[in-house]
Amino acid sequence: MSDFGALRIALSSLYASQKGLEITGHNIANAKSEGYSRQTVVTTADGGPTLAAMFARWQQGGYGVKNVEVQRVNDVFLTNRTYIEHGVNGAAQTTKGIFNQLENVFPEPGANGLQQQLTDFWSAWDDVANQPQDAGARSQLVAQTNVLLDRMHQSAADMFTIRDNSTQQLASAVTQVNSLTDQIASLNATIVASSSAGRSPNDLLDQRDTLVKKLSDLVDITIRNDADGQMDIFVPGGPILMGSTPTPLAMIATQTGAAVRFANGSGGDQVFRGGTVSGLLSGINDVIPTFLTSLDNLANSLRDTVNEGLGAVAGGVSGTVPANAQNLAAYPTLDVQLRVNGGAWTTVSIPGADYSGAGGADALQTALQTALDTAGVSLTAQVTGGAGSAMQIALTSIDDSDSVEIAPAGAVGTEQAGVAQLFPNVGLGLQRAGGLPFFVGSGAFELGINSAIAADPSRLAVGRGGSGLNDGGLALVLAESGNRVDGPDARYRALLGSLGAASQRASRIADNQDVMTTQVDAAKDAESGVNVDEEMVAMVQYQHAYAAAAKFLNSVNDMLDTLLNIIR
Amino acid sequence: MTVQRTTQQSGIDRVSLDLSNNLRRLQDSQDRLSTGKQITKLSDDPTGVGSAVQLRSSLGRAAQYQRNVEDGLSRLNEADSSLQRIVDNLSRVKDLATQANSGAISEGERAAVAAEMTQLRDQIIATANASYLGQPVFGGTASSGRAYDANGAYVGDNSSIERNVAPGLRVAVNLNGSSVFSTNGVSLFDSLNTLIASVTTDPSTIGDNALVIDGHFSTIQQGLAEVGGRVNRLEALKTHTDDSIASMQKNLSSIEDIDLEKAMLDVKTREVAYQAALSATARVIQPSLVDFLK
Repeated sequence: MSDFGALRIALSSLYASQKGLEITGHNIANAKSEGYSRQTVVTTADGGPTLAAMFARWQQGGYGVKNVEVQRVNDVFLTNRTYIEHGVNGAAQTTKGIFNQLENVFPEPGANGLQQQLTDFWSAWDDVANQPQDAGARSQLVAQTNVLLDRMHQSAADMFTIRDNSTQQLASAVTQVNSLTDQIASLNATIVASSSAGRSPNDLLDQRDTLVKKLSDLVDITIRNDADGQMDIFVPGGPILMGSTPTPLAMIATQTGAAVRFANGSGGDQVFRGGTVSGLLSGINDVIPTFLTSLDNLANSLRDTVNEGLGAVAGGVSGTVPANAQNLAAYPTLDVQLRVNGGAWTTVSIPGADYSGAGGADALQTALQTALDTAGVSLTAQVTGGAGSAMQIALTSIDDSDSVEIAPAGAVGTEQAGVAQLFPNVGLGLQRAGGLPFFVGSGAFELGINSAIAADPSRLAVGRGGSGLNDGGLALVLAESGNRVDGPDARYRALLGSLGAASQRASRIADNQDVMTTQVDAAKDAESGVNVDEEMVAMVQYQHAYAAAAKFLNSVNDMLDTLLNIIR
Repeated sequence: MTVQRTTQQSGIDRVSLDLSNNLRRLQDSQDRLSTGKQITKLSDDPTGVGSAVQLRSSLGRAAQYQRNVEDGLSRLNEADSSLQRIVDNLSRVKDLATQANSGAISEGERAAVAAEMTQLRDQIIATANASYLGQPVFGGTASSGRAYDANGAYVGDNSSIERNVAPGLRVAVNLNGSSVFSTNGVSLFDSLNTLIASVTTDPSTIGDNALVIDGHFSTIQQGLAEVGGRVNRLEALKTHTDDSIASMQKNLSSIEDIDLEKAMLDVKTREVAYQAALSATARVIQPSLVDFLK
């Protein structure tokens, strides 16, 4: 052993302990830093040359310590797992949020919900049935209808707002994704530069992991670590980052909702399975439209129930003649007056004949059409059924939004041979005319009350054909529509049920995923985080190691001193 | 020996999640207690919401049924009292007919009887035109606002007027003059006219014509019985609806409202859980080795 070799051992030992102490300090300093992975000093014994050299003999035990290297404690699998769980969590929390907002649109059960307005609406029909000639009851019905429609419009508008807000959120999430990929791209470049300059990129890697974790909250990503230390990031449809080249995403608002694509236009609409972006996309494109459609269907069902109850069909009037009333041979003609969109009344004379047999429907249709054409009324007659079963008659205009009114021709006494015969389910109101639809428009947001009826409630026709002005037979039947199994009320309850159940499910998934994500984060933190106790122990170790190395140096010094003092 | 590594931070993360979960649960139960409602949003109990909404709608309808029944009862009561008055008037007509039919009556007295009968007939027409809220009680859905004209000709129609009184149940609340004041197709007023004519011009037919009035009398009695029957039916329905309103309210309350004792207990339990979590958090920030190294 060479005498000065021992000094070198002492030096390497001092150096290793010092480095260890430094890193311990660094760890303690970053105990609270987000995404910091603890670092350890890895050393190996310097065993001296392993190859035999000519004319040299190696007698020494070792050269001390070498390869003092700082390693970052990071479990790649655990890290990848956190990205997956964060992605799922991002989607679950977003979906839960959207459902929570949707639930608030329907304050049920309560006195302010749509159900209450529907119930009051149907009851208002009962009041009209009780007092058909009372203007007050009719105005009350119109007023209650407006309350119901306001509630419905508000619900639809609230859902539109939720959709718009979600779209804005999506736009900002996509911007965030792009900004994160940009930052990761520049870190990638810095990491390569730092590594090739021989510096430890550990802290940069931590920074990058933190950014990637944030990114994984937004979109579901898979990562690939390149040999040179760069990280490539992929979404299901392709890479969003290759080394230091990001591929930005862009949000596109479509007719039906929103889509996310690559900004360069490649690959079409991207499908995500996780992350806030996927939650928002499914909210905007699936969840909200589903419930909007349900609400629209409810509104249309309300419109059809009421309009059909009053003998109105889209763009016309309808009649249902029972099997036993199809023999009209006793009447020379069946006269009705018709008018379209409140124009002039035109009398139409339909020949009375026996329409009850086979082919009766066709015969009546031809007779009706001829009569309409003769009278110059541009309506299309359609008759179906008959021959032993009820016959459906419809007189319709080309435009669904046209309103057709029907009235008995001539004096009150003769009305039996006309409206009451062929259109017994068309109400006759205080104005002795019926067929005016009560609701116009379609969908929850567009549904409205017929302005003609709103302006003059006496035009609401609730009397059965052939009855007097005091009849409210049609209103009586309509008032009970709330009990119909396929009616608007039933649809509303179905909507509430499916929304409640879906929201409950989304909420449970989100809560479970939250626990899961926290656990994975905690597991990662347990692996990579800083334990102060551990660092203290390491500090004591390094401290003692340093002291021991110093003592060793001192001993070598003493030894050399002794040696040098032999010769005076 | 493998030791599960843990860090101060991971402990804090776990505990703070538990803490916020506990706090949320505590707030949920406090919400329930303060609103008194079991269901504050749809997802609390989707099935319960369905039932509650249905019950609320049924309750709303039941209240309307009560109003309809009240309306029907008022109408029927009007019909009942009118028929009673007509029965009284007809009894007097029968008495007068018997009087006029006795041999002892003089020509002048018969004229007086005929005059009184005419007056009674007019009274009966007026009574038969009785109206409820502007609608003729015995005139169907007639547009003319009355059931009979001054000569006793029927100007009403034969439509029945119904009321929704229970889910899917409608009850007619009117009697039409054409049925109650008509026997074997002959109108009461025609019969009265014939009788008056007999009294004035042909006393020998008074007996036969008085018998016809007897027939009308029994038809009207039947009408009265029918009105009475319907009144009873509506009264019974009203009681029934009252009962079902009470029971629906009870059901609704059991779905929507909280069980106070249980809710209090819930809040208390969760408070304890929350405090436990708080004290656990306090301990996570525990002394480390630093405190012991000098």
